[in-house]
Amino acid sequence: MTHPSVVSVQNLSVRLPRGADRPFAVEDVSLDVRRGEILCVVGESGSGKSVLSAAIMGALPRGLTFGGGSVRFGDRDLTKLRARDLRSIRGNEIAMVFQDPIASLNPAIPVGRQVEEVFEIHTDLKPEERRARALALLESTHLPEPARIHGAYPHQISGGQCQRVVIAMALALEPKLLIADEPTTALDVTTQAQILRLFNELRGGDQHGILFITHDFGVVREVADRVAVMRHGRLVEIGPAADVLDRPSHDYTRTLIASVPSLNPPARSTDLSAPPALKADDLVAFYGPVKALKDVSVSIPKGATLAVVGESGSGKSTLARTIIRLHEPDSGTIAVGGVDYTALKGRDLQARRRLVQMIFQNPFGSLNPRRTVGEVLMRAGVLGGADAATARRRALELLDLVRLPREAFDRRPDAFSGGQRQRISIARALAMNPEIVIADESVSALDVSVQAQVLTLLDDLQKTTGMTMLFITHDLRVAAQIADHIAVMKRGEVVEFGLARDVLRRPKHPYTRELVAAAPGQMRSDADAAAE
Amino acid sequence: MLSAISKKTAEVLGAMLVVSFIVFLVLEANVEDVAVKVLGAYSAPDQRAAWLAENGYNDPFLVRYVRWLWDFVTLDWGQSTLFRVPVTDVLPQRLAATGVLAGATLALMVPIALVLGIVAGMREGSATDRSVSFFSVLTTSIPEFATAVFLSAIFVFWLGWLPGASTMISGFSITELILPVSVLTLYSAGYLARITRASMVEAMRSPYVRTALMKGASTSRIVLHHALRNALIAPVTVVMLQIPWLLSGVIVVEVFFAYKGFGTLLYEAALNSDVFLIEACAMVSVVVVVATQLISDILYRLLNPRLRVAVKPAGATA
Amino acid sequence: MTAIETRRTGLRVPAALKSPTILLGAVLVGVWVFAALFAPWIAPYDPLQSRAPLQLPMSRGPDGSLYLLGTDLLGRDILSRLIWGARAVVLWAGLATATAFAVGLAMGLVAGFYKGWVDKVLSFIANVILSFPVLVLYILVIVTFGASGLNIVLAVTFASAPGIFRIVRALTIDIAAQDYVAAAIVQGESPLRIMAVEILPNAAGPLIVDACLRLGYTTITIGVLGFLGLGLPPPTPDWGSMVNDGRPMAIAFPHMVIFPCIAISMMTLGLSLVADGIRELGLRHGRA
Repeated sequence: MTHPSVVSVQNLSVRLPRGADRPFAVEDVSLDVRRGEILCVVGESGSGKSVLSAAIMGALPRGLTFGGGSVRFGDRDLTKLRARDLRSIRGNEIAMVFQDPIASLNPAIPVGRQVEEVFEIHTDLKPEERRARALALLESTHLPEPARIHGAYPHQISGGQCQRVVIAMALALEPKLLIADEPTTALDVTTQAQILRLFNELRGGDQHGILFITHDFGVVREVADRVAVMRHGRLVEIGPAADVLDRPSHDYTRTLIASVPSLNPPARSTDLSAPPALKADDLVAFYGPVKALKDVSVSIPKGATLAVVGESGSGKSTLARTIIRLHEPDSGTIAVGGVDYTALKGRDLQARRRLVQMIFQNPFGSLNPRRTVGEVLMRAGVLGGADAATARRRALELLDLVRLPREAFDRRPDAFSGGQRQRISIARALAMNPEIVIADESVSALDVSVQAQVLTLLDDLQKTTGMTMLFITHDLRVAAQIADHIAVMKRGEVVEFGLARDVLRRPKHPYTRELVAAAPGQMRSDADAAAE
Repeated sequence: MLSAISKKTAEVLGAMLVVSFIVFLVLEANVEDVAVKVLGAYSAPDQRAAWLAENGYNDPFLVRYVRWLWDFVTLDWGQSTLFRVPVTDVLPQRLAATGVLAGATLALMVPIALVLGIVAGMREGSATDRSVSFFSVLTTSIPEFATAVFLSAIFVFWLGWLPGASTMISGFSITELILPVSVLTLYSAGYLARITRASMVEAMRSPYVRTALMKGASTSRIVLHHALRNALIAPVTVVMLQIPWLLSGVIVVEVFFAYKGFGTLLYEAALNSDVFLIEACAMVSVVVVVATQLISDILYRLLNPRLRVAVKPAGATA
Repeated sequence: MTAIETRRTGLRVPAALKSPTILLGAVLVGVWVFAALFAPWIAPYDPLQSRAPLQLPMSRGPDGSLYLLGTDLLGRDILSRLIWGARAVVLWAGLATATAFAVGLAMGLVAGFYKGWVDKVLSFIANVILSFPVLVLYILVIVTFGASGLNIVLAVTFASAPGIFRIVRALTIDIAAQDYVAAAIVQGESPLRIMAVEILPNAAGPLIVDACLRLGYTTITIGVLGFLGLGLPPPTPDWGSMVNDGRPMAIAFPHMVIFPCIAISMMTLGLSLVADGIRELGLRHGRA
């Protein structure tokens, strides 16, 4: 705590353009980043955390303007510097790491040259020195074969490797301040764990301070020395990590932390001896030339929830799309309530489609922007076999059921937030009285507090309607909260299957063990386990 | 990448084969008609019958097609009834004349359009951007013959600076080339400028440009090193695809200025029902289109680093 | 539960009228649509009647009648011919564009939705047609089948349907990848209804823009064919043909060619401006 601050934000406000939903993106925020520490700024979408980081870089998005306060960096105020002076600081004294590592690198230039460019801009180093320094930097971020990576284009290396390159680039001139804006959000959990480890290593040096922007309290727990919580552009609270995370002084922080799903599965009372509502055997499916499913078999007792967990490319989404017949399997069978679902064709299939319904991932792409909520729900009811009057009545009931006001009936999707749209999608799926509901990453695009609400809603609906659920997710913590059984997938195969608490507490397969270990926010689950 | 190119080539050759069949079907399915067109409306019926028999027109249609195709491939393109010489005697020099016109147009149009597009796209929404957009809408909306009339009215009729026709009777003349080239440039530059602008705007908004900005790169470095490399891929391939489009404009402009090129040749052949000349012109223009499509495809692959390697990302088909 | 926002988006007529680009374009086009609709009442003279040859603009003929835009070689009033010519242009360009759109739309939706071999076949046909330079294609069709309004419709449909097909196909593939289409499939909705209710309305923005541009191209095409002497058969007053007729004497009497050129340029520029304005509005609303 004795370290001096590298940057000091004082009463900073950033004005939003006229017509926005509030006057300020960032309002009266004051905080310091100190040498040798990682300060995490946490908040949900719209909290202003990313605008804050852009403001510190002096690079406000178009339309936003400084509305008062200052950003003191050494003896300069970054909000008042001219473009030329800002340029000499950027990449040199302050550097930045971004959310989408692959897109952040120029696709037409080998990554090594992009690292060297920092020296080209800010120093007089000779080409061979630049190259040597770049190779050393790539090495220091633990990239394998630095020489090969140096000459590779961004699309030729993985997302995690790209992020290491971006970090190497940021560290090139030993900046005093490193700003990382959601640097692990686009990465798989196991890769995220590695990058977080790298950040923890970086802190050791003492030469710089790190401002780490994230929405994930699990990530905060892994890296933060101090934590600042933001909401609606304002700073809610700031303090040492241990205080904010375990003894939050503010209600909002408390709610947020309580919303973070824990790796510990709650006790569940589902009857797992019921006959299977869904039984898929030896499914094989190709996605392009890739064999995405290799003899996958799953079965879910009626009224139970199976969570399929895996990283990107594991085949979990292909499994969902194959079961619902959006993707044709090459072999294998799917039985839904005793009907051979794979054998159905043409109009027979259309007529039986209602048995299996889906809640999609992207709340902004899963509702036709041109149709009102009422039209969507009524059409689903009619296709499910109801007449128009019944479908209308049922649509209104469903709105109650998913806890949306009845006025929603006449509105189009653009009037709703992401969480509300997911509720509409859930209502649409239920309007058909399905036997099975498949949720494909249905809560992963939502903020934690909304995520928690939707998960609770799904759990309640399952209890009241007795539906069977297949829940696809990349997040073990979410799976822990909702599933009776968990199946872990890797490269098109189910590597582990079992009761949720067995898989999470006593994982058998090494990959499952790796996944469980990589799930961010472990310290808390340890504490919870001790408390139990 | 090689397999992708050979696949494209096969596709393109297949399309050409079908096109040649359509050309043959339209122009030579009715043999009586061919005889009338070749021998003239006042030829005697038995004279036509004899000519048809002599030239193998009594054979089945498909046989005639295959023979015709073979003749075309071996550059035996028949006799022009209009010029009374083999088609191969008139066509090459006319094609060369058009090549000069098109070459001059491209040499002028491409740099102008690229510069306009880049300058406009660098600062989206600026006054420059708006002016360039308006200029391109204006010039691409006005048909070539109208532009030709307007330019002629100013520079020929009113100011008297330039000749109104480009017959090149007394040898090659630069002044006679100015108006046709200007008309074609005006008409085509707007489109290319728009494509370049859109591509540039996209690049300037991209995360990698933001990365460069956050590295402290100057505006000129960002534009030259980062944005242009990616932004020029689309326009360069579009230039190739514009050549066939230019060919349509060339016909109008050549006719307007009486320029003795490929366009006027096709036009005269069409007006005079010169069957073999029409066929040859149609096939040559198809070869030009298909060749530009192929080159454009190859250029795109060469310029795009993501396609340069053999590995295709999963799910990316076609 | 947070309140539902009341913000609405979408292209509405009042919003379109606030765009100066659209307004200017609409005026340029509107003048000639008005002329086409009310030609018999607003044209000063009979467009086919020979009155006094080669009168200059704003001059009075021997009988004292005023010729605002002058007369042509045969003594026909140019203004009246332009007004009646607007009818031919609006009618045939509209009809030809509409047919081309109907064909391209149907083919594009089917190819983009079903993909597979249907798409391969349709795309190949489109590529074959697009291997012809457009004007060569027109000349071939008109020379073979003769010059008439219907043959122009035929030629335009044949030549521009593939371009429309490509756009519709690309849009369809894009929209069909959206989850709301997957949701409709999963509900057992019929393919026809999915194309009509889920896909088409969401492609409407870019398609309206394209339709405006196509209408402009078709107007240019009809003008060019007229200019080449392959347009609507005489004595139909057709703008392109007027340029062609006036060309031999253009050096001495430029008014005979300039006014038809201005008319056609107004029309095509107007359509481009409308298209541009709509596209801009669409972009601002995050669509199109």
